[in-house]
Amino acid sequence: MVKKNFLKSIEHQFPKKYETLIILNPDIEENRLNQFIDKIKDVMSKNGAEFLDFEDWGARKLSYDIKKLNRGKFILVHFSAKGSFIQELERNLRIWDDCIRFQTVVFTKDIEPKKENIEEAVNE
Amino acid sequence: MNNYQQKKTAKPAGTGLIRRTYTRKKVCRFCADENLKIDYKDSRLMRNFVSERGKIMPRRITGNCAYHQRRVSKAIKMSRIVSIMPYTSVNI
Repeated sequence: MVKKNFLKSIEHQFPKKYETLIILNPDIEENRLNQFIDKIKDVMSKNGAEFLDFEDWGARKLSYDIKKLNRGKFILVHFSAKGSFIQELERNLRIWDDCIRFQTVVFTKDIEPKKENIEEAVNE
Repeated sequence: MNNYQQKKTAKPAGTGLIRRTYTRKKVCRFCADENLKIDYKDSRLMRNFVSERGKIMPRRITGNCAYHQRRVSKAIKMSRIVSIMPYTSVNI
Protein backbone atom coordinates (compact mmCIF):
# COMPACT_ATOMS: atom_id res chain seq x y z
CA MET A 1 0.00 0.00 0.00
CA VAL A 2 1.38 3.34 -0.98
CA LYS A 3 1.28 5.92 1.72
CA LYS A 4 -0.11 9.25 0.72
CA ASN A 5 1.81 12.30 1.67
CA PHE A 6 -0.95 14.33 3.24
CA LEU A 7 1.25 17.30 3.88
CA LYS A 8 1.69 17.88 0.18
CA SER A 9 -2.01 17.95 -0.52
CA ILE A 10 -2.72 20.54 2.14
CA GLU A 11 -2.73 24.08 0.85
CA HIS A 12 -2.22 26.68 3.49
CA GLN A 13 -4.62 29.54 3.16
CA PHE A 14 -2.74 31.94 5.39
CA PRO A 15 0.45 33.62 4.21
CA LYS A 16 3.69 33.42 6.14
CA LYS A 17 6.60 35.81 6.34
CA TYR A 18 9.79 34.75 4.57
CA GLU A 19 13.23 36.13 4.09
CA THR A 20 15.56 35.42 1.18
CA LEU A 21 19.23 36.24 1.06
CA ILE A 22 20.47 36.53 -2.51
CA ILE A 23 24.10 36.79 -3.60
CA LEU A 24 24.65 38.52 -6.93
CA ASN A 25 27.65 39.12 -9.13
CA PRO A 26 29.53 42.13 -7.59
CA ASP A 27 30.15 43.74 -10.98
CA ILE A 28 26.45 44.07 -11.70
CA GLU A 29 25.35 47.41 -13.14
CA GLU A 30 22.65 49.53 -11.56
CA ASN A 31 20.21 49.14 -14.44
CA ARG A 32 20.56 45.41 -14.24
CA LEU A 33 20.03 45.45 -10.48
CA ASN A 34 16.87 47.51 -10.80
CA GLN A 35 15.68 45.11 -13.48
CA PHE A 36 16.35 42.23 -11.14
CA ILE A 37 14.34 43.78 -8.31
CA ASP A 38 11.50 44.66 -10.66
CA LYS A 39 11.43 41.10 -11.87
CA ILE A 40 11.21 39.77 -8.31
CA LYS A 41 8.33 42.14 -7.62
CA ASP A 42 6.67 41.07 -10.83
CA VAL A 43 6.89 37.39 -9.93
CA MET A 44 5.48 38.14 -6.51
CA SER A 45 2.52 40.14 -7.76
CA LYS A 46 1.67 37.46 -10.29
CA ASN A 47 1.56 34.72 -7.68
CA GLY A 48 -0.28 36.58 -4.98
CA ALA A 49 2.67 37.30 -2.71
CA GLU A 50 3.33 40.58 -0.98
CA PHE A 51 6.64 42.39 -1.27
CA LEU A 52 7.51 43.86 2.13
CA ASP A 53 11.06 45.04 2.41
CA PHE A 54 14.35 45.18 0.57
CA GLU A 55 17.88 45.69 1.84
CA ASP A 56 21.17 46.11 0.03
CA TRP A 57 24.30 45.16 1.94
CA GLY A 58 26.63 46.06 -0.90
CA ALA A 59 29.62 44.03 -2.04
CA ARG A 60 31.12 41.79 0.62
CA LYS A 61 33.92 39.31 0.70
CA LEU A 62 32.82 35.69 0.43
CA SER A 63 34.40 33.18 2.76
CA TYR A 64 34.93 30.77 -0.11
CA ASP A 65 34.84 31.05 -3.88
CA ILE A 66 31.55 30.55 -5.67
CA LYS A 67 31.68 30.27 -9.45
CA LYS A 68 35.27 31.59 -9.36
CA LEU A 69 34.17 34.81 -7.63
CA ASN A 70 35.56 35.87 -4.26
CA ARG A 71 33.21 38.82 -3.72
CA GLY A 72 29.48 39.11 -3.91
CA LYS A 73 26.63 41.60 -3.67
CA PHE A 74 24.26 40.68 -0.87
CA ILE A 75 20.56 41.43 -1.05
CA LEU A 76 17.89 40.75 1.55
CA VAL A 77 14.26 40.48 0.50
CA HIS A 78 11.33 40.14 2.88
CA PHE A 79 7.95 39.04 1.68
CA SER A 80 4.81 37.30 2.84
CA ALA A 81 3.48 34.40 0.77
CA LYS A 82 2.12 30.90 0.84
CA GLY A 83 4.60 28.08 1.05
CA SER A 84 4.08 26.91 -2.51
CA PHE A 85 5.26 30.26 -3.86
CA ILE A 86 8.86 29.67 -2.80
CA GLN A 87 9.36 26.97 -5.40
CA GLU A 88 8.27 29.39 -8.06
CA LEU A 89 10.55 32.15 -6.80
CA GLU A 90 13.60 29.91 -6.62
CA ARG A 91 12.94 28.60 -10.11
CA ASN A 92 13.05 32.19 -11.36
CA LEU A 93 16.23 32.93 -9.42
CA ARG A 94 17.96 29.94 -10.94
CA ILE A 95 17.25 31.24 -14.45
CA TRP A 96 18.77 34.65 -13.71
CA ASP A 97 22.46 34.67 -14.69
CA ASP A 98 23.82 37.17 -12.16
CA CYS A 99 22.35 35.32 -9.21
CA ILE A 100 25.10 33.22 -7.67
CA ARG A 101 23.35 31.82 -4.63
CA PHE A 102 20.17 32.23 -2.58
CA GLN A 103 18.58 30.96 0.60
CA THR A 104 15.01 31.28 1.83
CA VAL A 105 14.19 31.17 5.52
CA VAL A 106 11.02 31.57 7.55
CA PHE A 107 11.06 34.98 9.16
CA THR A 108 10.96 34.48 12.93
CA LYS A 109 11.36 36.62 16.00
CA ASP A 110 14.98 35.59 16.32
CA ILE A 111 15.86 37.24 13.06
CA GLU A 112 13.79 40.38 13.53
CA PRO A 113 15.74 42.50 16.04
CA LYS A 114 18.99 42.00 14.17
CA LYS A 115 17.94 44.56 11.61
CA GLU A 116 18.01 47.38 14.14
CA ASN A 117 21.40 46.29 15.39
CA ILE A 118 22.88 46.56 11.93
CA GLU A 119 21.55 50.08 11.57
CA GLU A 120 22.97 51.04 14.93
CA ALA A 121 26.36 49.65 14.01
CA VAL A 122 26.36 51.66 10.81
CA ASN A 123 25.45 54.87 12.63
CA GLU A 124 28.20 54.43 15.17
CA MET B 1 38.04 -4.48 59.37
CA ASN B 2 40.90 -2.64 60.91
CA ASN B 3 43.13 -3.39 57.99
CA TYR B 4 40.56 -2.18 55.60
CA GLN B 5 40.10 1.08 57.44
CA GLN B 6 43.82 1.63 57.62
CA LYS B 7 44.18 1.13 53.94
CA LYS B 8 41.46 3.57 53.25
CA THR B 9 42.91 6.25 55.46
CA ALA B 10 46.39 5.61 54.21
CA LYS B 11 45.51 6.14 50.63
CA PRO B 12 45.17 9.90 50.48
CA ALA B 13 48.27 10.31 52.59
CA GLY B 14 50.19 8.10 50.18
CA THR B 15 49.08 9.96 47.13
CA GLY B 16 50.09 13.13 48.88
CA LEU B 17 48.81 16.09 47.01
CA ILE B 18 45.22 16.18 45.97
CA ARG B 19 45.01 18.02 42.71
CA ARG B 20 42.55 20.83 42.82
CA THR B 21 41.34 22.36 39.60
CA TYR B 22 39.50 25.60 39.89
CA THR B 23 37.06 25.54 37.03
CA ARG B 24 34.40 28.17 37.03
CA LYS B 25 31.05 26.80 36.04
CA LYS B 26 30.22 27.97 32.54
CA VAL B 27 26.88 29.62 31.96
CA CYS B 28 24.98 29.56 28.71
CA ARG B 29 25.33 32.98 27.13
CA PHE B 30 21.93 33.00 25.55
CA CYS B 31 20.15 31.95 28.75
CA ALA B 32 21.92 34.68 30.71
CA ASP B 33 21.17 37.43 28.22
CA GLU B 34 17.70 37.32 26.71
CA ASN B 35 18.39 40.07 24.21
CA LEU B 36 21.03 38.00 22.43
CA LYS B 37 19.42 36.43 19.38
CA ILE B 38 20.88 33.67 17.30
CA ASP B 39 20.90 34.88 13.73
CA TYR B 40 22.56 33.20 10.78
CA LYS B 41 23.51 36.58 9.29
CA ASP B 42 25.47 37.67 12.35
CA SER B 43 28.96 36.43 11.64
CA ARG B 44 30.50 38.27 14.57
CA LEU B 45 28.53 36.25 17.09
CA MET B 46 29.03 32.96 15.25
CA ARG B 47 32.80 33.39 15.30
CA ASN B 48 32.74 32.74 19.06
CA PHE B 49 31.47 29.22 18.60
CA VAL B 50 33.86 28.12 15.89
CA SER B 51 37.48 27.01 16.09
CA GLU B 52 40.25 28.63 14.08
CA ARG B 53 39.80 26.02 11.43
CA GLY B 54 36.11 26.79 11.14
CA LYS B 55 34.88 23.73 12.99
CA ILE B 56 31.88 23.99 15.30
CA MET B 57 33.04 23.74 18.91
CA PRO B 58 31.42 21.24 21.30
CA ARG B 59 29.15 22.11 24.16
CA ARG B 60 31.67 21.29 26.83
CA ILE B 61 33.92 24.05 25.56
CA THR B 62 31.40 26.72 24.61
CA GLY B 63 29.30 26.19 27.73
CA ASN B 64 26.00 26.53 25.91
CA CYS B 65 22.93 24.67 27.08
CA ALA B 66 21.68 21.90 24.82
CA TYR B 67 18.81 23.93 23.43
CA HIS B 68 20.95 26.87 22.39
CA GLN B 69 23.82 24.74 21.12
CA ARG B 70 21.41 23.12 18.69
CA ARG B 71 20.30 26.53 17.48
CA VAL B 72 23.85 27.81 17.16
CA SER B 73 25.06 24.83 15.16
CA LYS B 74 22.03 25.10 12.85
CA ALA B 75 22.69 28.79 12.35
CA ILE B 76 26.35 28.19 11.53
CA LYS B 77 25.43 25.58 8.96
CA MET B 78 22.91 27.95 7.40
CA SER B 79 25.42 30.76 7.17
CA ARG B 80 27.94 28.42 5.57
CA ILE B 81 25.56 27.90 2.65
CA VAL B 82 25.47 31.60 1.86
CA SER B 83 29.22 31.85 2.51
CA ILE B 84 28.99 34.19 5.48
CA MET B 85 30.91 31.59 7.51
CA PRO B 86 33.65 29.37 6.08
CA TYR B 87 33.50 25.60 5.79
CA THR B 88 37.25 25.47 6.34
CA SER B 89 39.68 28.30 6.79
CA VAL B 90 42.50 26.63 4.87
CA ASN B 91 42.14 29.10 2.01
CA ILE B 92 42.66 32.03 4.34
